[in-house]
Amino acid sequence: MKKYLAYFIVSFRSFSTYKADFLVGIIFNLVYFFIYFSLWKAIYSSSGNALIGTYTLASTITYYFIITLIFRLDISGKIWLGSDVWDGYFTNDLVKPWNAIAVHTLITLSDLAIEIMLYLPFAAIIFMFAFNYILLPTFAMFIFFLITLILGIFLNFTINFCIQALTFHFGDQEGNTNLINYIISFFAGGIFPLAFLPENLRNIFMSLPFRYLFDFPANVFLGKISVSEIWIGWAQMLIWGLIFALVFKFIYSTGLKKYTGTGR
Amino acid sequence: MIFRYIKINLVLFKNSLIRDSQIPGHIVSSILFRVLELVVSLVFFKVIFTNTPDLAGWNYYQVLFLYAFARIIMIVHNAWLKRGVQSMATDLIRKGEFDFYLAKPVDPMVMVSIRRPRIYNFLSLLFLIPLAFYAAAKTGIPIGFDNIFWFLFVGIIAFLLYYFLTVLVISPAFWFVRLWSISEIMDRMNTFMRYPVGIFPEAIKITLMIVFPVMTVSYIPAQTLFYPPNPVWILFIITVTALFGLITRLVWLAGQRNYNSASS
Repeated sequence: MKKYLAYFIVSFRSFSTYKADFLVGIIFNLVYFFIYFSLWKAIYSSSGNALIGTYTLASTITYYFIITLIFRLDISGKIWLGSDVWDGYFTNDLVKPWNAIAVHTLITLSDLAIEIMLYLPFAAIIFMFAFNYILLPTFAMFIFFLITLILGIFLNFTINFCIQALTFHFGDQEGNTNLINYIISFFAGGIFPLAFLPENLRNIFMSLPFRYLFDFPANVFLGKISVSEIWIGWAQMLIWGLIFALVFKFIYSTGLKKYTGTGR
Repeated sequence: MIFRYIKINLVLFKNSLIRDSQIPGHIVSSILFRVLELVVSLVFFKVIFTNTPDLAGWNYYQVLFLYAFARIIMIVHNAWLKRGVQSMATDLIRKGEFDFYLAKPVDPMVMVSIRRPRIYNFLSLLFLIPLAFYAAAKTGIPIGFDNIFWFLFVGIIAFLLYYFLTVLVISPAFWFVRLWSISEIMDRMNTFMRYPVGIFPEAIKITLMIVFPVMTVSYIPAQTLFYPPNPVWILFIITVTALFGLITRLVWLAGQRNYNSASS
């Protein structure tokens, strides 16, 4: 356990050396919030409607405020398992006295930790900018939201490990990883609330596990989901997470047998 | 002089064709990604225009054209110059590989830009150009020959402006050890190019039309196609392009003087 803690601290320090890199990335990712803020303000004002789906302008803006935060927790661009397998560097992790997957999880978590720490001041800036449009949850809902976020990170890990482990079997997955993650963010409500979709399309999206990554946590924050539905949602997140973990275990264990460590 | 660059460029295109043909899976996933991105954007625009008849006075098909035109500029840049320009932030400076381009009897800025084309990315134009034609035809706005002539003229100028902006954004790489995130800045800023300028607040409008004129790149050509060509706008884009060409060149040369070839 001690060695993993040490590994986490070293990774954290290593990432924090390049703060400017993180900051530039965070600042320019905020662009999305301001674009959607302007866009939805224009849509609500020109349509004359106070409601789109079940969303007021304030709940739509709050939705994007939360989505901007969740994108910072998105690990799809922070896991290096696939590229390490493809480059052959994964051999280093295999020969050392530790669990290779635990190490990859820790390095990704340290990346997340520094990103979230650096993001918080910017979240405060957004909040001050859009203060009139951001709805705050009750304390209880905020706690529910935090738990949902943690479960979402777990689900995100299992999904992304599955995608990355495909490298063992099919070679470089960089292009496919981007493609799959783009699809996932669309299905998850990372581009707009799923409630804005036509009913038949929405029903399909709501039956998929991906909505738990963006749409579900944002709606918990907005208080649009009842406590009983939240419990059911958490149970489903755990079940889906376990399913993806089992799929990953299968892809990984069969992949290890094929792994030659030669790299490209 | 110009023929030398054309010749080099053709050789690099041929090289890209051979190199990328070795990884057909990557080409397929890259094209699939573009198609999917297009589908997602179309769904998003449908969601928007289900709720409003227009965006800042632009109807659905005008906005669709604006989107398609902005994507065409990005795709041409992506297929031809993006990878080379991006490599300044990720590899060339940090590893000291920029030396090779300084030693060659060609302009380093041009050479670096054209060094890694991804020729198969041009295939995305097969979807975008018909979409642009379709959207322009469906707007219901009469488009005369003068509109088409000035649109093409301004469109070429806009592409040059876009190129200068991408190089300018990457130039801090000369001064920082690791700043990979700057290679992604233009990807974030590109989102502004997809919507009519009128939806944004005055401060953003002025900033992104003059200070960092990324919105000028798509908006002025599209405006020139749909409305009587405005000499003021045409003169504006020519002036801004010339100015940013000059600034980019000066910053690049200053960066080149600062470059000390130390690799890490």
